[in-house]
Amino acid sequence: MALSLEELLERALGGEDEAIEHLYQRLLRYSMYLLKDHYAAEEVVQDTFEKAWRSNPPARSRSKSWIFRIAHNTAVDYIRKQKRSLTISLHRSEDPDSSPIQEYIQLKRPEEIPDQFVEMLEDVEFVRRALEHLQEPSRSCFYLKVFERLTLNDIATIHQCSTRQVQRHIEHARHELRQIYERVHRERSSNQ
Amino acid sequence: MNYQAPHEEWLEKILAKLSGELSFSDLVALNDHLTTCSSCTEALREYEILASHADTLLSYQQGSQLPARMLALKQEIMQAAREKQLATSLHLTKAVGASNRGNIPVLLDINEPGLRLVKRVNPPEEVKGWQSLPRIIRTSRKRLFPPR
Repeated sequence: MALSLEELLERALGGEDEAIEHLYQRLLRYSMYLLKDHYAAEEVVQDTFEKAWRSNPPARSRSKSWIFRIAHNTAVDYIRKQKRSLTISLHRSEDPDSSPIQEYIQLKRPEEIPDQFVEMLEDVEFVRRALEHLQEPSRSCFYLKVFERLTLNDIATIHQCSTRQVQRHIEHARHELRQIYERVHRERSSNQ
Repeated sequence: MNYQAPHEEWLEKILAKLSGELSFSDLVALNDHLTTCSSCTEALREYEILASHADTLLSYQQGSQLPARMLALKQEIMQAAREKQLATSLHLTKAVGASNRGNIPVLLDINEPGLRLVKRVNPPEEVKGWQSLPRIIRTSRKRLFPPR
């Protein structure tokens, strides 16, 4: 089902079974990137649905980012309740041997790792794993722009900052991806 | 190739292009700029490759199991949607309801979330001009008529 976020939201809040499940999965992925904890992400998404359903303003008064704003704020509230720092919770404790990108290096044969960064970006598995290493708020801004295709204004509203800052966060994420690629490349060379 | 930051004033347009928000004149201006700027060209190329993974990363797996609380909420949303649809088809904005603790008639706004349609009943005599209305039960009651 290839629907825009607005259509998906409209159908989900209108009670369409498949749309509810689809939107649930989209919000769960976003919350997982924020919280790094499946149980916490499920809690946050269920709270998000409940809040959205209870308030459910008319479609014309909802922005495209409305549901993501609720999810983001609910995740931040969840972290506050857990008395964890946002920065700490958003970084997985990095055991160098079990980090997603280390697992990626172990899975790939050296010749499967391209010489150019731009070629590496073609590998969705690299992108998926590298995203987990990005820092907040860069990761969230990058995710919402590049994958959910929200506007800079929408993301600025979610993060309560200027569009210029959002733009810098997104570009910072691209820079971080390049650094992760360089790390993979270095380790590949040292393994050869 | 080492990282080269794109021009900040053009980065906004590069990112807008990703989500299809760029006007035609801005698109022409961006394309003109790209012919002379390698760092912005590289940034756009990389962002476009990354954005091409969106369908895979956001893919929807049909029939995946929702958690129990979410299933209950889904039922509630679907039930309310059905009731709202029925009310719309009957051209109703108001309905006669009964409280949870007995048959106290109440006037309800049919568009309010949380209403549960049970069956049709004849309206109380006080409500003149109402023909046949849905009977509704809900948890929070708005009494408009005193108990008989």
